[in-house]
Amino acid sequence: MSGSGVGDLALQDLSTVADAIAAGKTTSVQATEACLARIEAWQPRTNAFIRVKKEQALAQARAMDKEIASGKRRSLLHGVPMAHKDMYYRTGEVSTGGSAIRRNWTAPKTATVLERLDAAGVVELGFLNMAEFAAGPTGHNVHFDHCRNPWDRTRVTGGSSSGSGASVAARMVYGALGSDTGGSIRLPAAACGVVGIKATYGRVSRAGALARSWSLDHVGPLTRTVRDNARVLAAIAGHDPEDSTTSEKPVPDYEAALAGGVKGLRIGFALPHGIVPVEASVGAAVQAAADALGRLGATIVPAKIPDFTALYRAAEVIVKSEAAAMHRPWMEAGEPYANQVRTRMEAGFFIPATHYIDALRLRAHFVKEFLATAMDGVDAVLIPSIPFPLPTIEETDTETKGGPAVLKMVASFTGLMRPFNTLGIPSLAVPCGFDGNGVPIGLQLIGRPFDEAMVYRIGHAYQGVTDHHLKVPA
Amino acid sequence: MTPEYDGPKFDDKRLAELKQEVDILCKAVLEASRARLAFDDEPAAFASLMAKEGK
Repeated sequence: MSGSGVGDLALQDLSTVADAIAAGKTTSVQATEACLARIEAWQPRTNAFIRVKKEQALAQARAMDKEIASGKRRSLLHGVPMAHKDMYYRTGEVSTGGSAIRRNWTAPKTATVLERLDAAGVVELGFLNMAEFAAGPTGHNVHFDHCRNPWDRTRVTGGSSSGSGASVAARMVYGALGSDTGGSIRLPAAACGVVGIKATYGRVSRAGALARSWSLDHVGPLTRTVRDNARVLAAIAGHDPEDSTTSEKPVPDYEAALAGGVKGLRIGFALPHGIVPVEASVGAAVQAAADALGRLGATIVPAKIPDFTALYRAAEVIVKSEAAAMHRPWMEAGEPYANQVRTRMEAGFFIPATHYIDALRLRAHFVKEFLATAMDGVDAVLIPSIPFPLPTIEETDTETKGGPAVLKMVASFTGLMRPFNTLGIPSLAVPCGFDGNGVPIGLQLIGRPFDEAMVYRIGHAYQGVTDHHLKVPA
Repeated sequence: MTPEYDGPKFDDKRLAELKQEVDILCKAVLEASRARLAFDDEPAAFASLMAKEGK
């Protein structure tokens, strides 16, 4: 691989490059330079980065190579370049949150997940574009300009982790952290043709990550393959005293579990109506994925999906209430928000506290019901991600309209995503085809609480017999 | 008894939109709550359940 040129190196996946660095077949500097070359070519086309840390990244890569030369390998991620949504704090560095309000704000601490990636030897290439304050399912950003889909720059990337999806898809980075409050990892993963996981609530620390909604925020990685994703999640997951909501459950060896295959597993399958119906071409792609898993030995059965309406509305009550509380000083001061961001939070000022508390109290009931219906007798559930072919940036631009137009657009994108933030259970987005415009289609694999290993196992088996994840935007 | 609203100010058109939005959300939560919630249900039950259900 090292002799095949820098361009080819960038096209390898994270695990391959990490293992090659460990084996001395390539170096962290070569991998970093390969990514920087891709960034130079693709940043003008995608606007995926807010800041590129070229010199710091190269210095970090040299240090990682020196350690490898001395026989020290920090982890399975040693020397691999990544970049992250610009909402993970690093002491002394600007962290914009995709906003004008924090354009020059300097973080007073470092996010736990970044500390863990530092300890693992990951090289940090920079920070990535995102929806303002992680609020937006499309990738629109009026302050840093919209992020553009590498497969078709007129189309949305999905959001709010827009730069994370675009940068991984365009092979500018081997992996990226995103965050997911109503689909914000899985939407860009689906739209850009990469893998993204919203793990169980409490699996990954939120400390030092800009909040959208404390009760519904999930931190997780976007990568090119399921194996890569499992490797990154293993590095960042686990209890953190800085985040009291994190679980003390041991973190499994996700990568080791990939070998299990799907033979003998039971997978529930559905094309549910979540706010909007599943469009035929998307349904056909996800059906084909179910068929592929069936041929691998899984038993595919109809999933009994409950009505998502109450789950969706409860999430909205929670996120609007919490967002209104945290943004209140800036909103009262008339600070500069995008219309589509500000108007989504305004209802939070009028939601009674009793309804907010009831929405939180309902979560346990919703989880019990989902486990007793959709997950009854199955190991995982397979559904689509975004239920329609990806629209253009222009078609979904609600900035001048605000209010009800924004709500309608958001609901259509997140109808099959947001319920799983309410439930807090794992959901893995995996690419499963391309629509008539040549833009990716994604599926979701839903698992039981803390059973990320199962959705990874199924996703990995699926990628073993398909090549959607190997295709590279031209 | 209702304390004066002390949040950001909105014009009448926007207030009407917000009322409609809040009504939809609250109605859904109220219906779900009436069908499910009992006196002893607390928000922390979610975290306990997840820990118990987790493998």
